[in-house]
Amino acid sequence: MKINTTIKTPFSSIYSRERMNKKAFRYADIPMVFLCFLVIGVGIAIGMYVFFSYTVDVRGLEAQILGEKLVNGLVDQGHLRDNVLTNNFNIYHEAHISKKIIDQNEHYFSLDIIKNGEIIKNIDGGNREYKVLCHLSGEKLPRCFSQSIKIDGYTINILSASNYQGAGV
Amino acid sequence: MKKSETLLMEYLVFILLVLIFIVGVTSSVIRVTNNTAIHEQILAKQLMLLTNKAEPGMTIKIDLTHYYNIAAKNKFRESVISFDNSAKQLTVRLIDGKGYSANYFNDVLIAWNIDRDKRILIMEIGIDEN
Repeated sequence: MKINTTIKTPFSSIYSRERMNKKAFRYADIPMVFLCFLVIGVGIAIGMYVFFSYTVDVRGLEAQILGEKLVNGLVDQGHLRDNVLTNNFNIYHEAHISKKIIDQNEHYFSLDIIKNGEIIKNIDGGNREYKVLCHLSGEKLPRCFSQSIKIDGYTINILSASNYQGAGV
Repeated sequence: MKKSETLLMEYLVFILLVLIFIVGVTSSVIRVTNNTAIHEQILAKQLMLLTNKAEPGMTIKIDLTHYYNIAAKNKFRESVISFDNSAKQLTVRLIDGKGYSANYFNDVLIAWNIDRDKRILIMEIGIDEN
């Protein structure tokens, strides 16, 4: 008794003996050709992405510049600005910082003005999550810059952070 | 149609498909490996840091010869840099495409011009009254 052991698969027709013996390219092979091109193309694309996808990381420098601008906004000729402790003090205006960009949630800053060990004023802006994330480490987490200045009997703790990667291509 | 003609036609179609694929892959590999995208990103981020650090009243001059050479290699003749004062955004383009954009948080007004002969970017920083 003869048993037929041929198993039919989706590729049976492609690899059938008649086809393998045929030397010419056939229009029916076009989908297979495209499949091969797709596999090769995806392989090359992945390879290029791995080797050529650089990101220039300047988040740390950006956080530092933001911190320096905040100091310039608080201090005038070596003294704390007169209006810093008033309610109408606008740090964005004094430090020439764009509120629109800070409010895009990729930056953060916090200022604690301390007198006799007690915080008498806090000013902050941007993404408040960064205040916590600054204490953690990770590639995707924001880069932070903290500094403390003593001026006219006040201690000012400044924290600035950036996780801005650029608007991209 | 004779059998030989059919065979010839089928070969031609196959060769054409392979050629299209090879040209497509080669052009995209060349585009990526000449590092234009990374140069766009480097220049955009350098300018972003410089703009963030700038103070009103400053005049900044930057030599762009290196980047103009890259743009010339890519046969790109349009403006390499543009600033959008209202969006606080700068864009660098060294090849046809969207380029690389970066936002700056410094609330200043930038008057800019490129001296195309000397390939120098001149930025004058002013106060943004808005």
